[in-house]
Amino acid sequence: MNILVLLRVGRDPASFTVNRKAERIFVHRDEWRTAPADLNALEAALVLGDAGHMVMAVAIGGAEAAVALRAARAMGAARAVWVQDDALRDIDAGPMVAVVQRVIEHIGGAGLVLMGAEVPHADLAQVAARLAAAQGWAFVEEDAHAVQVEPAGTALTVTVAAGQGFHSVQTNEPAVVAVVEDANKPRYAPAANIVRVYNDPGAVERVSTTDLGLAEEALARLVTRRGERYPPERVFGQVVDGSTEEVARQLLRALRA
Amino acid sequence: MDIADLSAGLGEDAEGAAYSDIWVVLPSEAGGALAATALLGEARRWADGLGCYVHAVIRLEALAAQAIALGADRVHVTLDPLGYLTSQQPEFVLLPSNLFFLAAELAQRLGAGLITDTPTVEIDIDTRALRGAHAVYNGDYAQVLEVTTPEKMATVDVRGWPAPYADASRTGEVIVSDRPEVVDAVNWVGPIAYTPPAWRPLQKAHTIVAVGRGVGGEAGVALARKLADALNAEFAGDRSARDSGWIDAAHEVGVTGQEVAPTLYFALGILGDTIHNAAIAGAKRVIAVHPNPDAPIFKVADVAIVGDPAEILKKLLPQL
Repeated sequence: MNILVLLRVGRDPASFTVNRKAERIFVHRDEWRTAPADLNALEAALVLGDAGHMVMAVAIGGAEAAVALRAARAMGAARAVWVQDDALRDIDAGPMVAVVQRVIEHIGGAGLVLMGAEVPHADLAQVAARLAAAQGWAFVEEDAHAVQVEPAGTALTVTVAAGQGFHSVQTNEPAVVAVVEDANKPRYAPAANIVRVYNDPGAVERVSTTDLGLAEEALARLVTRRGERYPPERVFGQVVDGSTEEVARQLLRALRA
Repeated sequence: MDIADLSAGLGEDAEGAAYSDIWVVLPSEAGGALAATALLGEARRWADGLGCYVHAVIRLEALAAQAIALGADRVHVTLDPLGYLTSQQPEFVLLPSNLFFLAAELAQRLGAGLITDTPTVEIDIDTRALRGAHAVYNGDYAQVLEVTTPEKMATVDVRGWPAPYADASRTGEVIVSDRPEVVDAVNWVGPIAYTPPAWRPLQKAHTIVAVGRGVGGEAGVALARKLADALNAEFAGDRSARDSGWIDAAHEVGVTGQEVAPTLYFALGILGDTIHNAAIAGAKRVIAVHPNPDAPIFKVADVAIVGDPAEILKKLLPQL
C-alpha cells in the first residue's frame, strides 16, 4: 500500500520574536521547521513502512520544503515529492487540498494519507477533513495515536484518544488519518542516511504545479490574510490575596480562563 | 405567512435568497438544550444589518422553538447537516469550534473558504466580507483572515460571548428534513488498553505543575501531584525540590536543569531565584502560589497568590 504523508513547513518559532507592545514580529533568521504533528504522522507511517508498505512524503513551497523532505528521506521515506513554488509558501487549505489530490494521482494512488492533527503556523488543520471530503475517503475524526494495517485486505485499525482513555476504530482504505502531536517519538535519521540523501540529487523529486496539471483557478486562495492581531501585553505580579477559600476560588477562575 | 411568502411579496427569488442568508449550525448539550446559542444572537444582529434571514440547523425538532426565540427566522431539523447544507448553498455558515470537522468537510463540498477556531468574527455589512482571527504559534499572535469565496464559513470559539436575548413572542418557520443519518465509514471497536510511549521531554509539556521547598513537605507534594493529574500536566520542580528528593534531574526546572515553555506553568511553593525564573521565560502563563509575599517568583507571575500552597490545594482540588 502507498502511504502519503503531508509535511507542512512554517517559520521556526525560535527564529522570530513577537513584540506585543510594538505589535510587530521581528524575524531574526530564516529558519523553518516541519509542523511537529506532521513529524509524528511521518513516524506513524514509517512504522507501517517497516512492515513493507511504501511511505512517500510530500511538501509544498520553497527550498525549506525540500529540506523537510530530505530529512524525511533520511528517516526512511521511500520517495519524496517537492511541489516547488515560492508562491505556494503561504498557501491556504483549499489550494493545498487541490495540490495533494494531484500528488496522489502523480504517485499512482494512495491507500492512506497521514498528516498532523495540528498546524501551529497557519489555519491548515482543516486540510485532513477537506482532503477526505474532496476524495470521498473515510476520515478518522478523533486524535489518532497509531495506525495498523491488516496484513490481508484493506482494513485499517486506528488507535484514537477519546475521553480519558484510548479506543480502537476501524475503517477501510483509502482513508485520511490525522495524527496528534506527541503521539510517538519521531525516529532519528541515521548519519549514513543523511549523508546519502544529501549527496543524491534525485533524493527529492521536484515537480511544479504545471507538471501536476493544476490550473491557476485551482490554486486561487479561498482566504486572504489581512494582517495580524496581538494579545494584550502581559501584566506581571497581579497579587491575589484573601481567605484560603477566596484564594482557591480565584485560582479556579484563573485556571479556567 | 412564512418567510417564503414574505420573500415573494418583496419580489425576491426564493432560491436566490438562500445564497444571501446566515446559517448557524447548533449542537445540542447533553441535557437537551441548544449549545453555543451566543452564535445565534450575534447572527441575528448581523442579519438585521445585512437585511437577510437567519437559519438555524439543529438535530432535534423539540429545540426549534428555542432557536426561533433566540433569533432564527427559519429552523431546519436534520440528522444529516452536512448533506442538507450542501444542497442549500448558503452565503455565511457559522459553527461552534467543536464542529470543526463538519465545518471542514462542508467547506470543501461548498468550495467555501473557512476560518477555524476564531474567538472574534466580523461580517462587514458593506462588503459582506467575513473576517476572523486565527491564533497561531500557541497564541503568540493571530492572523486576521478574510474569506474571499461567495460562500463564507467560520468555526467560532464562543466562550465569553454574551448570551442572546430570548424573545418567546418571535415566530419562524420550522422545516423538518427526512434525510436519514449518514452511516459513518469509521466503526468504533471499543476501548483498548494502550499506553502512549512516555518519551516527551519536559520542554515539550503544555502544562507543568512545579513544586519548591515552600509547598509544605511530602503532604504538599502529594497534593501537587494530584493537581498535575487533574490538569493532565507534567510534574516538575526547582533545585530545592530535587535536593529534597521529590523529582529527578530530568524534571528540574532551571537554567542548570530544563528550560521550559509551557502554555501554563503552575509554581507551588517555588521562591523563584534567577536561575529558575530565567528557565520559565518562555512560559505563556505563570500562576504562582507562595506564602512569602516578597517571593521573586511573583515578579514573573501573571497570577500571584500569597498563601500556603497545601491549604489552597485542599480547597481547590475538590472543585476541579
